Amino acid sequence: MKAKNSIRKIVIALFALLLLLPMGAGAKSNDQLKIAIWEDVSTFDPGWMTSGERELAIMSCLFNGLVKYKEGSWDIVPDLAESWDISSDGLSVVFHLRKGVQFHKGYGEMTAEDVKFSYERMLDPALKSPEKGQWEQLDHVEIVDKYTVKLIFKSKKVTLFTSLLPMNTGYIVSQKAVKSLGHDKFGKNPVGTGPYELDSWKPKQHVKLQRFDKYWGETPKINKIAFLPIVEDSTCETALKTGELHVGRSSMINYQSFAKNSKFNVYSKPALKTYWLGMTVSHPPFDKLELRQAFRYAVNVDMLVEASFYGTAKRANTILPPGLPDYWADAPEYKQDIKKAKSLMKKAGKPNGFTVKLFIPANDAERIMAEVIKADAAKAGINVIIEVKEIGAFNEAANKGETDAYIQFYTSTIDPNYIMQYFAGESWNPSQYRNAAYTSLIKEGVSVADPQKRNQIYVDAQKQIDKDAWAIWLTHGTKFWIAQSNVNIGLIYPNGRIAPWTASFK
Amino acid sequence: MGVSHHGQRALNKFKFVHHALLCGGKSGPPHDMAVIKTKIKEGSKIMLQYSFKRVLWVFPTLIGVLLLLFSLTYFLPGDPATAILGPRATPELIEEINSRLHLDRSMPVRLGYYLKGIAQGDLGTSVWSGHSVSSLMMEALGHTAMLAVTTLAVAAAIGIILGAFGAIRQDTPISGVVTVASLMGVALPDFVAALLLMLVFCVKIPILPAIGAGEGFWDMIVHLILPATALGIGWVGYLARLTHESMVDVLEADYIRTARAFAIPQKSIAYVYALKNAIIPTITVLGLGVGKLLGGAVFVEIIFSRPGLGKLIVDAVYARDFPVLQGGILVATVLFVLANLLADISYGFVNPQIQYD
Amino acid sequence: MNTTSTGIIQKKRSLTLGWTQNITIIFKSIAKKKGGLIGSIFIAIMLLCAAAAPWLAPFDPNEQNILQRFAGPGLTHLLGTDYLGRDTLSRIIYGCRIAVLVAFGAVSLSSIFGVFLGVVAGYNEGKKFDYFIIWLFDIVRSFPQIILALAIVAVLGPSLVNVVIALAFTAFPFYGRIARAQTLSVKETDYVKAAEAMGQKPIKIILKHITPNIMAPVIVCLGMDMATMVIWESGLSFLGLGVRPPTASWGIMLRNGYKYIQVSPWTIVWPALAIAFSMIAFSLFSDGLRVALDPKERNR
Repeated sequence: MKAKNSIRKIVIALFALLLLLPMGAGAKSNDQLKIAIWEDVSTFDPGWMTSGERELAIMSCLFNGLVKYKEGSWDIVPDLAESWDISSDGLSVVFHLRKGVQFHKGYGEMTAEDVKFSYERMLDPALKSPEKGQWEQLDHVEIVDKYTVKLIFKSKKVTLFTSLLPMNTGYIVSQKAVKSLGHDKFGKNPVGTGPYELDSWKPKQHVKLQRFDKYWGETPKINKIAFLPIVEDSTCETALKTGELHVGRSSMINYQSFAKNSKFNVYSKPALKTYWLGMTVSHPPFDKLELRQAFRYAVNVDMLVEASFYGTAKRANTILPPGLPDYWADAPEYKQDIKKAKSLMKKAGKPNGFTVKLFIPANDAERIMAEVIKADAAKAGINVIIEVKEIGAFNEAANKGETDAYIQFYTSTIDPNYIMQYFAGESWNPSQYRNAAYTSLIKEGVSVADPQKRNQIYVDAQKQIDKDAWAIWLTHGTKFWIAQSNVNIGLIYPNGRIAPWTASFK
Repeated sequence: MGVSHHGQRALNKFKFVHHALLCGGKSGPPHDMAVIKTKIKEGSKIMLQYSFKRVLWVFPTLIGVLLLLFSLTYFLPGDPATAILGPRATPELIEEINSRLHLDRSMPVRLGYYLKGIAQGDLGTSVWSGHSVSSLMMEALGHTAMLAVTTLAVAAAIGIILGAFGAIRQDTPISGVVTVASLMGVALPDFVAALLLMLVFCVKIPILPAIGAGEGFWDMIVHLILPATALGIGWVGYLARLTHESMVDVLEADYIRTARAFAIPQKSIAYVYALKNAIIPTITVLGLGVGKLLGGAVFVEIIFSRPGLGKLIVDAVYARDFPVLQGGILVATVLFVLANLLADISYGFVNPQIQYD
Repeated sequence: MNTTSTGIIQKKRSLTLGWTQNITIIFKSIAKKKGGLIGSIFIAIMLLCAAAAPWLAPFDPNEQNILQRFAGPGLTHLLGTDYLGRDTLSRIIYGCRIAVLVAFGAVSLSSIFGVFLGVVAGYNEGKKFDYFIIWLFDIVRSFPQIILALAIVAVLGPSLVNVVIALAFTAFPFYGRIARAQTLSVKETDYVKAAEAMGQKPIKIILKHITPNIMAPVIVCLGMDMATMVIWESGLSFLGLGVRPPTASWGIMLRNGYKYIQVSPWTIVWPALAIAFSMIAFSLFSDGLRVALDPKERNR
């Protein structure tokens, strides 16, 4: 009897606890905006930022550069520099800095000293910045007066305004902070001039930003932002639905269901990625041009893109994404043609097919692509053996040219050289492509200023790749964001990057 | 160290616990009826000797662990720079990171550097974030410990209560509940349970959080509900059966019947004698559960994106973050060794008839 | 009747009773109990699925049909399809094959290796070799199993064979310890001493007298270990460090289900049920096995 009573009491207590649940799950405060990002940051030092896009959403909240892209476009507008004068020979630029700009955490006012320090340290061999190459054309920085600074270059830096200054390494850091904290510590305790300052960083858990009350520009509407690294798309979707996230992404296949859901708003832009299937030219079977061409005709790219991106992305026909000024708009679109493939194979002496070892990283999209390729290739008698490699091992093996074929993606920036330079070099050139004509084109492109001539050079480079047929271009992907309907996500750049300081709660 | 047995009959009585120990407690709840009696510690002196020897044995074990750990990281293909930076890793940078971590040296040299670091109290720095490995691990350990303790506490509470009720009131359907619970615990390993729970409570009816550990007391509790349930399902059934069976046998023993004959109230019999005797083997088994819990915690932490030791280690494998990987596995292993040590020693208290070698 | 040895020893000592008859007796006593019977039937079903997969599965498990992906349970695809349009039922049946292969493979490998080391160590009790073997056991035992297996697969590369090797490596010390502990008592028995006195070579003693008589607890552990191996393989595949796609393993199916949890919950439910089924099968069977092998229990 007593036992039964006790059980009853326990059940009632549990029930009451259940009623408390809605209080815990997805506490919606309009004080903090929770944004999901793909991966965690590795450092907050802008000179050491690595991947083009990964940290930019956060970094652009913390820092400013001399100039910036106007939010939502690629136009260059003043940021910390109010105006500038370019010398007639194009080798130096004088910047007139804004007055009264304060650094975070009480590190004082931004002056020409900080600009000089920020850029010259990029060249310091002791610091070993991975971005050193971007700044090699800089000779030195001269301080004209407290708010005027002159950048002097050895040779014309054509991408100075288009992709150097507005991006990561162009951000201005506090000289005082870097010198007193030291390089390592600064990477964890950034001091910039941006609208937000760092509140806390727990690796792989969150990055929390707090509005900077002494910001020189327009005060952002949202007080706190938390960036949560979430690797799995499905986790992101679940967290959006439970209300634990305000802004995130979904897997492509669920894009439509979020788009139709009135609780969410979706924003989509074509990404600046390029996925391609690469063939290694340094050893059989793909040392033979005909076999590479045959493979190109065997794969049904449209179907592959539809399968792996669920209709949210278009196929790619060349390495550069459309929207970039040097995009080769007339690139040929290769349709599946098994007959042609077979005849090419016959020509190359493999009428009965051949085997291809295909390495892929353990990602969703690549897995689907690989399956489709395998099925397609089989129709031409090509036997594709798929080997999924964990990402570290994949990169190592692919870069060494250990496989016959691989699926890889790189991310572009607005500067075409950024992505095309790898195939003229030794590292991150998985196909082991060595072509003197291509290499000289790439070298030329870096120094040419005239946009028409540049365009021709880069189109020629793309044509060369097409001729040598070592890549089957797949897609450029899509970048999209999903936000709760009570969140105004703010402005989004053409490549899908968000500007969180322009966001607000409705 | 091996444990030899002395007499098959004594062995059978401790079969339940003995079985769990022999199979290392790794393979899930056995379904056995065991008779467990505790005798007054006769051989306490022998036991002290055994305990001392057992503690000494920890040191060569740890050395061996370090050797194995380093062999594994030595043969792990890939380097952190490439894993993290991808195409942006210039050859100079790769070389710089590799030489900083001594990745280009032979294994004994690397081990030497690492030991030197440990002697100075420095476990290294994460290649990924630059944070010190020790700070990362303290935090991760805290979260995993919180998960483990909550899981065990709740599972033990529910399990022991269920088992006790079932033993005292053998006519209620409680024993049916216990059987079903233990069957469910067997059928659904932690990560399968975690996935199903997430499916029901985060996806289908989105009422519970799916990510993170939460902030603030109640938020953290709410964030613990699903992970602890997933981890704890197996334990509830197991502990219930354990308590049930040990209590049933003890209740039937002579001295209990004698107490009843003297009309000592039923409640005090149950709570004072029986439960007390049943707790000790339960504790031994719980000690063994540390390893099983850590294994399960790895999946639960990844599925629910909770910070913790398991997630830390797995992320470090993907990113080839060697310092974190080594530090994390080392800590997990040391914990494991200590848990085994405690289990072995406490097992001695359970069965003083064991001969210690 | 020598009461200091187990019943099984008696059984095997009856020289005329061969292996097959012993096994038959064991199975009969397993089947006597309800749990053991159910477990045996379940296991038989699993073995059948594994062996006869090509005939039982309605579709090729790797046949993609992109247009029909994420289908729910229906008439053509009884359990629906996955993210590439592959038939779930067929993949579950083939997944059974992987589960059985891993379970039996890893368990055989680890038990043979472990028992052998354990017996030899136990027989040479107290000598340097014994301590060395114990040291090996304790090192491997100190690692949390899943993490050790994970690391080994990361080193060797994901594949079915490497998963089996990794799992076997993490498990062999457990068998070693049991074998050694049992050997310590068995080697003191009369007939072993007699054999030694008669000058029989140690290796012969080990194989003929000791090994068969220590097998009882080993066999019991085998049963439960198989269940654990199935879980671990699923877990490793779930983390991407298990078998390679497009192999159909329940773990890989769970991984894909997890990635598409918002799209089609069915893709998680079916492999979860399959795993549950195998767990119950192995558990009930090993329970029955343990009861059957224990002379005391059989009289209950």
